[in-house]
Amino acid sequence: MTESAFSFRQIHKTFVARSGESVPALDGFCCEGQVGDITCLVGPTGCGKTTLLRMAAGLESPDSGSVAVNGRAPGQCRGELAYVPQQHTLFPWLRLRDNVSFPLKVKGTRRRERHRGADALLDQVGLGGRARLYPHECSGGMQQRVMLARQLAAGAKNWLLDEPFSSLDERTRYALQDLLLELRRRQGLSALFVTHGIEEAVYLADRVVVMSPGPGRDVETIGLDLTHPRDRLSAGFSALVERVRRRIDTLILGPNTLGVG
Amino acid sequence: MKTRLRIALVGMVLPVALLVAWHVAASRPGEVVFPRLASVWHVVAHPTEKPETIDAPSLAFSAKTSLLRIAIGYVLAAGLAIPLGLLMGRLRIAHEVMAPLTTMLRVVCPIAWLPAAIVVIGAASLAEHIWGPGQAWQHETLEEVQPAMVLIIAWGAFFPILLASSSGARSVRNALLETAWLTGMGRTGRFFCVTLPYALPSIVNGMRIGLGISWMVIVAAELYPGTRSGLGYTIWVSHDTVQYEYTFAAIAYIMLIGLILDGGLWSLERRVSHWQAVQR
Repeated sequence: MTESAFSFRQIHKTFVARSGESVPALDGFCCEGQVGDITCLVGPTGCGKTTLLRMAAGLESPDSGSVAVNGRAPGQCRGELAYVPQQHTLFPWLRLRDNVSFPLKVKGTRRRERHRGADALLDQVGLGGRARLYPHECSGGMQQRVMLARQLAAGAKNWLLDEPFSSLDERTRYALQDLLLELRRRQGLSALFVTHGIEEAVYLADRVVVMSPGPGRDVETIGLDLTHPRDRLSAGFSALVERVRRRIDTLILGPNTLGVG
Repeated sequence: MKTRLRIALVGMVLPVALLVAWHVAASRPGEVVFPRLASVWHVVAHPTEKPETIDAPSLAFSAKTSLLRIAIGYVLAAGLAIPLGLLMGRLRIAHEVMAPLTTMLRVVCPIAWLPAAIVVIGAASLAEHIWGPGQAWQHETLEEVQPAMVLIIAWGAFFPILLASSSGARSVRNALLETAWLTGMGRTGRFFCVTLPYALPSIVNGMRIGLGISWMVIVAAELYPGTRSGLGYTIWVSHDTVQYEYTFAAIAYIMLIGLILDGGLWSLERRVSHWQAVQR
């Protein structure tokens, strides 16, 4: 039996708005992500995808149900999880080098050593020679690369990515998707990846978990058996994207719809 | 460089216009309030000379005394206000406990506390407190520093620094604290590596405002009974004896010292907030 990297069982969560109104976010969500796999969460806006990632990171707790990362409670996995939210969370007063080496600083690595490590990681994400820049001096794509480099410095095996490339241009997005796949291949990381892009999900994922409109629950897990590396231009890839898109439309909107693209 | 020169020149336009207006006013026959610029300049240019016409020490000694009073009061204020403000900004209970009292206290003019401060602390100088009345005269500068006066200055500087520190700490992006938490960083580490750097621009801004208030307070505080020196004291004594060249010379020194100190804090603020200007 394959080991679970991420496991959500019967997750219920309701937020209370400032007005006192209850806003149900998740309603009995279940899903598992296997070790070494990339699992994509796809669903309409407001179905609780980000909440799920935050639960896996230990930043939120479910009202009921259980979340586990490598069989342990998320709170016990601090320092072993990489969380990449939609908006970059680089420390604006630190140079890129210090941002990347931040997790090494927490681990008590000596300054020279961690700077050397950070420079190597920046090189790895295509930002060699930019170590002295500040985050605000970088483009969105560069900032996301630095975010990835920082997570690499942390040495985490379990990655939580919340639409990390959604605000980037197509070329940068493709480059970073390939970088993620390369990291997965080399380091065997497991990832839970939230996206609205069906093509992105099909390109990256081993399985796609489709969520219902909020309050979200899992409606179906679609296994993607196309081997990696996948070729975006191949007929097989396009057909798979189309098949997944149609299936998701049917699951979310019902069988008699034209689809939402 | 050209831009800096342009900014400096533009910044000089109003002060020069003011000096010209002053010169015109001082040239009127029988003018008493506005002394001639030359006589003010003479006092400013000879700060170590003891004035002959008023009962006050030299401007240099007065400036030194005022600076010392401000330094002690200001350091005391910043030393208390920064940690308390950060605590108020990060701990809801600390904010709930302290906010009502600080709101009530900060609207009271610092000088209003002077009589109470004299009653509670007494009129003795710092030198008398440390070395006793018999030895105090040997410590000329510290004998001019009265704890009650220092307290009033500290009071003036305390609240802007407190509020700025509290607001700076409260505005820390939660996502940054979460990021640090996820790396396994503890509470103390998060405070020093995230909260403090994030709040620093706001703190330094509060320190600049606090410093300005300290200088405003000192002129009134140096009316304190038993005061024998200080720029504020010089202003009051010269005013009483209608020796306005000393009044304006002391004001010029306050402006000059204020400009230099504020310039230092301004440059510190620029250093610690370089990332904020772009984020806004």
